[in-house]
Amino acid sequence: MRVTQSMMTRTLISNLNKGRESMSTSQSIMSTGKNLQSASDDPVKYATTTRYKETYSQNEQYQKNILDAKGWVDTTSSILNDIYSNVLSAKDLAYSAADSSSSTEELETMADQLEGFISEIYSLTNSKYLGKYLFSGTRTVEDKPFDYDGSTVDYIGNEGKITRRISEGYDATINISGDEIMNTDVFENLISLRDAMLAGDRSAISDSIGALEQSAQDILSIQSKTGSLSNLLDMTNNRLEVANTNLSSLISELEDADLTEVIAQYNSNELAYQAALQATSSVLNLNILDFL
Amino acid sequence: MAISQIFDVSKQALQNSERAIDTISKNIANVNTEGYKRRLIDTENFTGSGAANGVDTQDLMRARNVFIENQLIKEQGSLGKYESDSAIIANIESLFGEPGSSGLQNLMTEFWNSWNDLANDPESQSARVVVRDKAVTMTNAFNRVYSDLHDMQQEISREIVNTVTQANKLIRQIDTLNRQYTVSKSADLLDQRDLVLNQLSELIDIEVKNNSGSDLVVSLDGQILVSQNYVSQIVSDASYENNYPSYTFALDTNKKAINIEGGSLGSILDINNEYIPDYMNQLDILAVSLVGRINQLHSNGYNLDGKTGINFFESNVSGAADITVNRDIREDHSLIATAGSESAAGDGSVAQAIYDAQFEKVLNNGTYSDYYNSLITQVGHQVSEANFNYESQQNIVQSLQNQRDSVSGVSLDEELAKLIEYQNAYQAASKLIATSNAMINSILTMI
Repeated sequence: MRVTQSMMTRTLISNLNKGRESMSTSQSIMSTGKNLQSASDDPVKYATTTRYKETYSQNEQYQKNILDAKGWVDTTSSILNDIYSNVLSAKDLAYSAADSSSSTEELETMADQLEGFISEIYSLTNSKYLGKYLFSGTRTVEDKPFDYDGSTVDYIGNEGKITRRISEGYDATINISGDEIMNTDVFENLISLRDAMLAGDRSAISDSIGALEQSAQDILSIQSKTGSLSNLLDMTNNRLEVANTNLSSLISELEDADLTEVIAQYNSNELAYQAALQATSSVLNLNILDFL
Repeated sequence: MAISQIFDVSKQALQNSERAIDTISKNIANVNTEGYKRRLIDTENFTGSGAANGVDTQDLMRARNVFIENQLIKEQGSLGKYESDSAIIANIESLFGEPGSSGLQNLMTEFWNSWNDLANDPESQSARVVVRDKAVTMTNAFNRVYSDLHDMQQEISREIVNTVTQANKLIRQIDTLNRQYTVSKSADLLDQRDLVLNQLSELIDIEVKNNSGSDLVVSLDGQILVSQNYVSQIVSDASYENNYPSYTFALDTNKKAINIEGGSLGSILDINNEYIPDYMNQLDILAVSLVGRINQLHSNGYNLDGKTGINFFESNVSGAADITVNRDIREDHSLIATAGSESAAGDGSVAQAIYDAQFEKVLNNGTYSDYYNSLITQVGHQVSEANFNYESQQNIVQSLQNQRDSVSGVSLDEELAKLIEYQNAYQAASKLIATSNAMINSILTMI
């Protein structure tokens, strides 16, 4: 083949350009640490990575929701526990009151003490978490959900459920509505015990002990519900954690550059480029005039 | 044989060498001239014998391979197309800014997540502010991408008009060179014409026939652009649909419509008439669907003050260009609804439902995000295909150029060797004259 000046120049320039181009590609991969810088680098990989990232970000959102739910549920649980121990103390008081040796004055003092427990439980049921009533259904910021006028306690919240999305398609109900607390008859039983104490009606006092015991058990069972929900939250959180660790290593595998490989690639590109430069300078300097 | 005859032969030999050295000097002088085709040394005297046979002798003096040149013109059309494709679509891809934190993908995710945060804390005004701000950022990104595409399209429109003007100029140049050639018959004019043909072939997919002397025919989509004493110009016509220009072409002479598929004009035409409208349309569908669904959910919800029936986005939008958060909500974030019923501040069911809308398979049996991603992946595919085509086409064209230059290019080594060859021949012929002179002198002294 007849080789002319223009062919040699074209080939040399094109090789130099290719050398520069591949060095620049390796360089941008090295400096960003990413193989995949735009969809066009590898559309299939891009589509997969985007899907993974989406799931990853959803999982993060679920974990955030779980953290939030956990605060709510654990607070609810500890308040229920406080209510439970108040009911137990009231029950102890009822035992002492049922004792036939106590005088009318003593019964009145006990009634006062009991009034203290009632107020304590009443104020516990009106507890707030982050500015929201815990036991009011979804009427979380309106009036106090429980209303006590000295003789009866009324619930004016609703039965609304407060939920948190804790995993794909699963909403956990995190609140205990006031109705459930009312259903334990805790206020009714305590108030009738107090009235019996004031009236000095010992048989009524004895009768109320069993009722109080039942209320305490009911509250305990509500509390255990929140305990198992709290466990569920922890378990789900762990599962999401594991899922995201896997996802992030998958994403990194698709997206991140293997630096050793890129650097090796870069070195070999650089070598090729130097060779092309060397060839250019020696080939272009060759001239028949030097030999004539 | 008379001695004087030797003078004639030597004279002829001197002239031949001079002519050869003249050709060599022309070749050396033009070693780097673009489009120059090496001149063959005229030892057989084309000018005399060729003209008698009716052959266009100027062309015979140029070393060339017509088959490869025609091939090159065709492949350069494809090169022009792929080069422009890979540059412009890559530019469009970068408009979307994916993957990146300012890309729509990420902004939509943040928008959805803000609804989840609001669903967790429906009593909160600050969570509402976040929802509003994320929504405004997202709608701005829609507007920005759309208007960037619009700007790009306008730039391409101008480019189409410019390219047509440029092509017409080159077509007229070919015609002018044709006319000049009929008068002056200079091979240099043919070189120049080949150069212009090459430039034209990068712009539009021309077909070239009888590329030797004055019989050249250049055609486009089966219609003749230039032939002997005939020239036709391309006229473009834009028809508007939804304010969007679509271009068609015809010839000014016979008014026939022509299709341009190759060359850089073919590329920008495709991008203008098909690619960009497709991208814009997909963004519009996404925006309209998003607005419709979220408004439907939101207007059923109640805010903390018990207000209901409020749209989250302005409802009368045409698409990505004007998607925007409801003006009332932009001014008063407390209008954002979260609850499914009145006086239930802790009820975040509507906010949750809006969050859940992202999982609904609403567009092409996919979610909003799937739909957007398939758009980005589509653009990515187009870019990587264009890049691939461009790269392989470069190799094809380069190899054809090398084949052409192997025949037509000037090799200095060759020319210099020939220079010495003809210099020697010249010296020998001179010596011949001196010798015959001496011979005659010897004879004359005999008298």
